[in-house]
Formats: sequence, structure tokens, C-alpha cells
Amino acid sequence: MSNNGETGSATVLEVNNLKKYYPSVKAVDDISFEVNAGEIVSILGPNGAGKTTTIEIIEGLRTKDEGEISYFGRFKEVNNEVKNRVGVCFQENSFFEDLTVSETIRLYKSLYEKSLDTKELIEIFELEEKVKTRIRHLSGGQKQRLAVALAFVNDPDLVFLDEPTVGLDPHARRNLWEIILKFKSQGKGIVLTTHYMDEAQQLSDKVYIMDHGNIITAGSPQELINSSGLESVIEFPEESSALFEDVIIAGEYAYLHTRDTVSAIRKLLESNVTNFVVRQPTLEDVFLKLTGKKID
Amino acid sequence: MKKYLVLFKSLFKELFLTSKDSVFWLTIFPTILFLILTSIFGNMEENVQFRVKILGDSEMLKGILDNIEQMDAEFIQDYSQETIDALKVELERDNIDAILVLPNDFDKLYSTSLLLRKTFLFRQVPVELYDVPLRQSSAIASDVIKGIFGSMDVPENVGYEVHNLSGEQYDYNNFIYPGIIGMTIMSVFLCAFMSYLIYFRRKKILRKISTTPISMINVYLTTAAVNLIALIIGLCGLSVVAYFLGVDVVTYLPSMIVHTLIACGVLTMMTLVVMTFSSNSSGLFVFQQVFLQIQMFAGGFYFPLKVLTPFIRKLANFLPLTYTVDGIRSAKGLNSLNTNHYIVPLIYLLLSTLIVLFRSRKLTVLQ
Repeated sequence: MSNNGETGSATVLEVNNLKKYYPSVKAVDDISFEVNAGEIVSILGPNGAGKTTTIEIIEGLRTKDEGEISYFGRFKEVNNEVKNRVGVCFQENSFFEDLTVSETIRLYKSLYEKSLDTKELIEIFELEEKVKTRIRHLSGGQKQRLAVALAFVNDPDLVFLDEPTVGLDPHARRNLWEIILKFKSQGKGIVLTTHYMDEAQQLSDKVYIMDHGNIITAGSPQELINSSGLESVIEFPEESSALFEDVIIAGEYAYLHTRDTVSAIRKLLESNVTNFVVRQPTLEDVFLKLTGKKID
Repeated sequence: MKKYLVLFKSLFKELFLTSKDSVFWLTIFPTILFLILTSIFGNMEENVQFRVKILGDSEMLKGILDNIEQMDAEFIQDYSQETIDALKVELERDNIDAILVLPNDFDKLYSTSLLLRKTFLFRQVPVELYDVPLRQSSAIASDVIKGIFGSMDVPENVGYEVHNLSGEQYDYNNFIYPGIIGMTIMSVFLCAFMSYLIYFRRKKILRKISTTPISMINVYLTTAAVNLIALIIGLCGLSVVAYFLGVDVVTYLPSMIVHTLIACGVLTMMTLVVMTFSSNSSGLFVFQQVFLQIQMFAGGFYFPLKVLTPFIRKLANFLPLTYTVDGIRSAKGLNSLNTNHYIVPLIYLLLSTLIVLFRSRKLTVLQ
């Protein structure tokens, strides 16, 4: 494992010039990034940006055309040693429906050389009451928590979480954020792909925004917001978008990024548009500005 | 080893113990199928052609027999007592239906007896007829022969010496038992095994497992082991019922074990071969159905190969489970093929294993 000299900053994943071309599309076009231990890295992008292909290549589920991937500074391919140190939670998770929660955890534990204690894992993910429940009888949220728990079952050093909080209520989402941050504090490198911009903003140390197979920008959420040049965002109904030149329309709303907030508000009020919101820019605004699309 | 045991236990529970469908199709259905087939066909004779060996020569009889379609008569002119003894064994084993032994110069003797029938010089022409009255086909063949002589002007010209042998009655139960075993093997290792893998793949369970250190080939083989246990349970139930219906299960047992294991290996590897070529469920399903139907109907599972058309008989020679079923039947002498029953299945096993090893990456990587 390479080390940058600081405790907890060992590089657990390094991707260089990764390419994956299909006949009609460049799914991944020469991208590079790295993930350090104790770091959460988010990969964001609209549908078809190449996020999933990138992650699946790194997970060893797809072949790459070109480029180099280094796991833990030592391994160039996904061998069993790498698999023992990597946890994966897919966006769509499936289980053996007739096994109980504890049987499922025991099954996946048995497949790895090392593992977390079953009881501890069940407590962390608040599945105590469902230990003897068959998977088919779990709710969507409970299944999602179990899926994330299975990503950590082998006490991995590198974890891929693809939409880990989909299907969870706001309370459960925040609980899961806390769990993810706790694992991060234990030195695990986490790669997160999410559609929730607030999630990426809250959890990520670094964000990579992808579009058309390329990384179009990278940095910490705050760096991205600061470097975007956005001062204020005014959000108002799409039917009034003709009032301004540089508005981004996404769904029923138009988004105006401006430094001259007062003039913009005056213009809206003069046009009898009163249902608008003025707020500080977020990662979502950066995303919107860069890709021109609101994440679905 | 522990991981395989845990995986086996989990898969056994998931695929078999908690699945009412699996329990029915893999263990109960073969027995029901056996009961249905034996109740429908149990009293039927296997063939409508009577196989008769005629020792001696007679142009007159040849002329008559040529006009009887159901008679498959073969004349053997040069014979000895050993020939008669060997044919009696064949008759007892149900390989032929009747033996007719003619005296030398039968035609001449018969003509003479006709001429002299009203004189004191008249002598009956002695013929010997061997049959197995217990067996319907043999009894009918015997009656047909008597009927032929009966139609030849004066029946009393021929004096019969009828030998009733004690060969076994043709037993459909014993015949169909290996066919049901073949069907059960296909149900488990073609339908269930392949369907499980299709289901795992569609539900993306295999994708999750492929991110763990266990080899995908071993996951498939563990799934196959679960199916093997289900198959053994199913065959045990079938065999108990078959035993009480008079099937000679004990005689069948050794060849059943050997041929079943080879067939399971063949179908497991063939399934994996198809999986390396077809990434979608429909492709696997098409293979499953096409192979199942062809093997089931052309493979002599329910009827002897000899009643099938020549083309189908040729096709059957290329199907691996034809040899499984026929190989098991050979323990009771009910086989249709007199070739080696291991070569073709082992060629299938070897080739498919090589293809799987060569293309093993296709089983793990998405493209």
C-alpha cells in the first residue's frame, strides 16, 4: 500500500487513464482518480455519464480497454486478495429470498477470509429485530440496510456504495450517513455514487463529476462550489424563465445563478413572480451548471 | 471448505427446502409420472412386430410369411442343437417372440402328406414351436404360426410339438423405470439447475457473489451439488414406489448410480457451456427447451428405440442421455443399443468441460 506520509492517507485505489469504448459510445474516456484510506469519494453524473461502467470495471465485473488500476498500491487486477479487502453494495441488490437476515450475513461472512462480528454488524445497521426474518419479508428499507451491511461484512479497506440510501426514509438516510462516516473514521476508503446531492455534499471529501465518460471537474464539495463562481441561486417557476438569458431549466423550475441578486429579484417582482427562492449555491447547482442537467 | 458448506447449506435451503415447487417437481413429480405411465401403458405390449426365428427352410412358408406385415421372420437353414439352445435363451429374454423348428425337406414332406392323407401311409409333418405363453407378444406370434398352418388346406397334416418356455413377461414397469430416471435427471440438471442459474443471473445475485473471493465455477458446482442431493432424494422416492410395483430396483442400482452421475456431470457442464455463450435468459431457456424435447422424445425414454423412425434412431445416437437410459436398461437386458454406453456421454463431458475451462471468464465478467 502506497502512503503519502500521513496516517490514514494511504492510497487504496488509483485509477489512471481508464478507457472503455463500445462501438457506438465512449463509455469511459480516459479518466483518472484516486481514493485514499479514510476518505469518501463521490462520483456524480447524469444517467449514461459512465459512472456505473467505471465502478464495474474497478470491481472486476467488466473488462477495461486501456488504463491502469492499482488496488492498495500493490495489485493491478481484482484477485482474491483484493476481493477480500473490498466491499460492494450495488444499486439493485438481490438476496436469497428464503434465507433469514442472520443466515445471509453468515453466508457472505463465510466467503471472506476475515469478517466483522455478525452481532456487531446487525447492531450497527439496526437489524436486531429482523435477525430471524426471511429476506422476502423485509421492507425495502430493511433490505437496503442489509445490502449496505453486507458491503462491510468483510471489514473491507475499500468500499463501493452505489446509491446506498435509495428507498430509505429521511431518518434512516441520516442514520446510514452516520454509519458510513463511522466506517470512514476507521480508515476505510469509500467510493460513493449517489443521486442525492445533499448526501454527496455531506459525506464526501472529494467529488468527481462525470459526463460523457469524462471527469469534468473534481475537488471537495466546498472547493467545487467556490470555484464555480456562483454567488446566489434563484429558483423560480419555469414559465417565467424568459425573463433572464442564462437560466437553466430543470423540470418545473428555472435556476438563475447570479452575482447581482437584488436586480434579479426586482425583475421577478416587477413581473409579478413572487414564488421564488433565493439561496446559497449547493453542489447540485454546481452539477447543474456543469452538466446542464438536474440529476434524476 | 467451510465456505462451501455454508454456501451449500444456504443454497439447499433456498432452492429446495423452502421451495414447494422444487420439492414437487424434483421429488414427487417423477413418482407421479411413473405411476401415470405404468397405469396407462403397463398392460401394453412394447411392439406390434413379431420376431420369429424359423430353423429350416420352406419356400411355401416364405411365400406366406412375406404377406404378413407383422411377422419379422428369419429363416436359419444351417443350425445345430446349440443354435436352438441359444435361441431359447433369446426367447426367454424377450429378444424374439417364437421359434419354429422345421424338419429337413419340410415342403416335400408336407406335399407327400397331402397326397397320402387318405391312405394308411399318411404321416403328419412334425414341427416344433417354442413360445412363452406368459408374454402376450409370444403367445400371439405362436397363434399366428398355428393359424398359418391352419390355413394350409388340411391342418392335421402338421403335428405340433409346442414347447412353452418360462421367459419373463414383458414388463413395462421395468422398462419405463430407467426412462423416468432419465427424465428426472433432465428435470433436475437441465430445467431446475439452469433455471436457478437464470434466476440468480436475472436477480443479479451472481453479480454480488462474484465480488467475493469465491470462484464462480465453484458457486455453479455447489449449486449442481445441491441439485444432485435433490435428485438423489427424488430417485429414492421413485425407487421405493417402483420396488412395490415390481421393478427390479436392486438389479438396476449399480448401473443407475454410475450412469446417473455421468449424466449429471454432462448436463452440468453443458449448462455452463451454454451460459458462456448466452448472456441473456432467453437464450438459455431456448436451449433448455429444445434439448429437453429432443432428448425426451428421441432418446427412447418412454418407448424402445426400435419403434422410432430410422432418422430419429440415428439422432438418438448423438444424444448423451440416450445412453444413460439405455445403459441403465442394459442391467435387465432391456437395452436397445448394443454399443458402449459410456463413450458418447464421456465425450460430451470432456468437450463441455474443456469449453467451460477455456471460456471460464465469460462466466464471471459482464461485457
